[in-house]
Amino acid sequence: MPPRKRAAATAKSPSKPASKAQKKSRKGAEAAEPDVAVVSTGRGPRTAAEVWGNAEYVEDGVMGAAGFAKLCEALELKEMSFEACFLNHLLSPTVDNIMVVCKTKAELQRCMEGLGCSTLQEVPAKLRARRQVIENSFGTADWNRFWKWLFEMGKAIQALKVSAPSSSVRTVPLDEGLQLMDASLGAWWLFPKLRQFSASVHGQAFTKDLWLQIGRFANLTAVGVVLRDLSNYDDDAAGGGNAWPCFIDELVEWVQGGGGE
Amino acid sequence: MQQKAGPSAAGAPRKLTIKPLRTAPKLPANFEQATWAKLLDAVRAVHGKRAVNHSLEELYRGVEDMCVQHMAARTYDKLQAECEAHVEASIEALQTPDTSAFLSLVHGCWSAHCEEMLTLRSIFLYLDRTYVMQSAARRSLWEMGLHSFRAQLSARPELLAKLRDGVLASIERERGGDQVERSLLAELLRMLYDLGLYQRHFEEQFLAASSAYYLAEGAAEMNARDVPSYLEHVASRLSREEARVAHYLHGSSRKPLMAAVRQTLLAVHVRPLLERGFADLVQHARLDDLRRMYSLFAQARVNALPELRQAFAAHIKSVGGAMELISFKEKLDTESFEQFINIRQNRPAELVARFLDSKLRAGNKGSSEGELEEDLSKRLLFDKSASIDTEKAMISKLKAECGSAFTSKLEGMFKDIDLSQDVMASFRTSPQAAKVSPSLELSVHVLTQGYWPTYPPVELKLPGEILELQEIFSTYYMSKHNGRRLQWHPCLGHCTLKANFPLGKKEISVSLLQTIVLLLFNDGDGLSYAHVLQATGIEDRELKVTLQSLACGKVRVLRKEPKGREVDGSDRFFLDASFKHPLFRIKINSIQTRESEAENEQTSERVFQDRQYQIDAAIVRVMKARKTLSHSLLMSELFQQGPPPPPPRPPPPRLTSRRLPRGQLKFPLKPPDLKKRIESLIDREYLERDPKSASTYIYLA
Repeated sequence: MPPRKRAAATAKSPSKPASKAQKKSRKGAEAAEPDVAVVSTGRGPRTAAEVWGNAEYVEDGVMGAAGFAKLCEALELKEMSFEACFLNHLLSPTVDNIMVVCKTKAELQRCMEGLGCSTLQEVPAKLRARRQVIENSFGTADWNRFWKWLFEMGKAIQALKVSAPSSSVRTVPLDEGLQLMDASLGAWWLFPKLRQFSASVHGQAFTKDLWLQIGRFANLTAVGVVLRDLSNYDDDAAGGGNAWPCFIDELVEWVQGGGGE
Repeated sequence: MQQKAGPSAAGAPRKLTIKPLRTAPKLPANFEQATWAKLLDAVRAVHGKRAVNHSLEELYRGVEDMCVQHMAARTYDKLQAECEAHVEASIEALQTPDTSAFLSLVHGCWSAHCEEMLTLRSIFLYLDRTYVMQSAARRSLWEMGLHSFRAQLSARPELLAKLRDGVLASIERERGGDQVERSLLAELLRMLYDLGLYQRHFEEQFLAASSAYYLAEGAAEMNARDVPSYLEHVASRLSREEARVAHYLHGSSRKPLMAAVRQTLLAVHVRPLLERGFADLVQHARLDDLRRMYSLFAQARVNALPELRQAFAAHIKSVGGAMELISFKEKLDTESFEQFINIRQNRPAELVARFLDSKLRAGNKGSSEGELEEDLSKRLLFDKSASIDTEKAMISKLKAECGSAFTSKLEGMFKDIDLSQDVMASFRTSPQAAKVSPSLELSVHVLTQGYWPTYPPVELKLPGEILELQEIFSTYYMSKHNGRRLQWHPCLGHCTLKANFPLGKKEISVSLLQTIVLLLFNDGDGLSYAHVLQATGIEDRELKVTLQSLACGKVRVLRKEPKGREVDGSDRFFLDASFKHPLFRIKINSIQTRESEAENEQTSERVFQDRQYQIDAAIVRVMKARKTLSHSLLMSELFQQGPPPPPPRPPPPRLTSRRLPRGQLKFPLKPPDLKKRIESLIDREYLERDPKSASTYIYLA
């Protein structure tokens, strides 16, 4: 399958030039809600077999990025939303080829069962429930896995973008990183500041260590180990041990200094 | 006198009467001849080394009688004639073809003479003590003997020369390692000194011979020995010459002799010694040899400390180019090199230390060529170099050390300066030079662009006189070198101005920028900043420091209103009518703005880049040893050597602004710098965070 970089990077367009109507409806997705509703409720697939039988989603026996995007559309999951990303993560927990989201019907089935759904129609609600649990703490095991996966995803997207082997890409660029974070950390109370700080002050790509530490920081601040005023963020007891990456030191200093007010 | 005393039986008191002699006693007619004959016999006996027939007492009385009878003058003359004849004869006897025993013959003759004169003086002591003492024109007997001996010797220069050559040959034999009869030499030289012949007939030739000997030896030994052993040799030579002075030369020869030896053995070889051996000595920290070098070079007359200092500086520069300065400095610290430099003079030590320090601060090989270039260009253009030869020597050293590519620019700079001198010489004789107003002088350095650091072109409004000068020179230069492009760099120029202050004339040495500003005051006083800015066309920031140097510096030829240390756009400037200075020629330093913040930042950025590797290495070293270490412990290991203190943490400070003490890493370092390196090492998978504790690092083998 020929890589369609734009599509992969932002999951905005389907891989195959499908019918004009479909294109239109997708375009309208952002602007006009009713259009989307019609699409999803009307003819969303119900079972794994249904998905696998539909050439719109599955091509050459696998569900590609474009097919997945269409599936999300059908399920009323906004692209780059927490739910869409999380589903992607469940379908392909290891990022070896971002153009292939799901390899077999069985995997799709297993994923649905893992979410406790008998039909695909139940999936969005279940994902939303998951999200609420996660947003309470940003510390659950499945979130940790997801957070790591997001970084790998970001790297893979970047690798595709610059046509480099993914092993040679070590960081996630600022913009992509923020987009991915938005999908997962959107509900974190400190995220708006972090986004502003990264974009306007720090302005650098995310390394893996930094990414993981940001996740840990989100967890510690969300559950209140690190106080709301961040005064104890670097203490041993609060999990800092002086070892936060400089980014977080600077972020805290910036926030405490009234940055972004 | 007679005593008339007869015994009297009566026992009556006796009368004592004293009567004059009836006839005055007369000298025997042949008294003088007889006495002299006796004396002459004795004198001849003494001279002939025979036994004297008469008792010395009798002879002494004879002399006394002669003196009392007013025969002293004649006696003296006769004695003198006798002695002279004898000295002549005995010196004549020295004229033998045999040279081997000549020196001892002379010595024998001399000591015999001394002995004889002593005996004669005892006999004629009365004469010596009365007549000679009373008549100023007469020499004492001893003197008389010396005089006649000297006269006889001086009358035979070939004898003197033979004596001298004999002595010199002996000394040379001794220098060559043979044993010689030192006491004989001592006696002979003592004789020459007593005779007053030492200086003229021995010392001059001796010093010349010594110089020649050591010059030859120095050249030969320099080839044969390496530097340390040569220095050892020199030291032993010096001490042996000292011993020679003590043993047989006269004390007055000490200074000139030692000076000659130092000059010939050492002073003429200073440069090759430094060039060949200094770097080695420093490198291998041969402290004893260095100490010897220092003390030898520090001696008066050799006076090579400046060269030594330069060599040290050059060495450090080249070392700076070649090896890690950090370790070099450690070597200096630990082995107390500075002490060696400190032995006598503080200044060079301070200079070297400061130089080293600045080198260390900027600290590395990458920048050193650029720095060298900058420094050298400043010294060359502003005539500040102590010695062009030394500079060249340094460059040739650098060339040997770092290859010709490294020094080609530096050499080019020298070539430019040399060529410029030729150009100026020929310009001064050219017809164009006649157009230069006689009150002005011009000196131009024509620099080849590629060799020199880049100087940004500066726009200025030069005064007419200077423009005219530039024009004249340009015309001249173009007529010589067609097709070349001359670009003037006024910022590098400097001028000497003649100034008529109300309290006296002065010559002020200033930069061209300062000149332009000062010349404005020829046409008016009380100039506003804006006026100066507009009239000179100097860039705002540059003008401010220029005015600052003139009105707020050490030497203030301008007065600023209102007063203050900084120059403001609203200030007005006046020529200081009450300007006074003890010196006629005054240099007003300009304030440097060249080292701008941007430049500094660039340098420190570059330095930081290089240090990153060192930090990485240090972190990896520690982590490799410890395998697993918490962040705080790692930091303290890096900052302090040895076991870290228990970690009661101070209240969280502003980490970014706190500087930690120096430890394993020899440069000031902020924790964030370290953290960034740790992060980078994690990213490059040298380290990872402990999954159980994010503030603990694990070393990944």
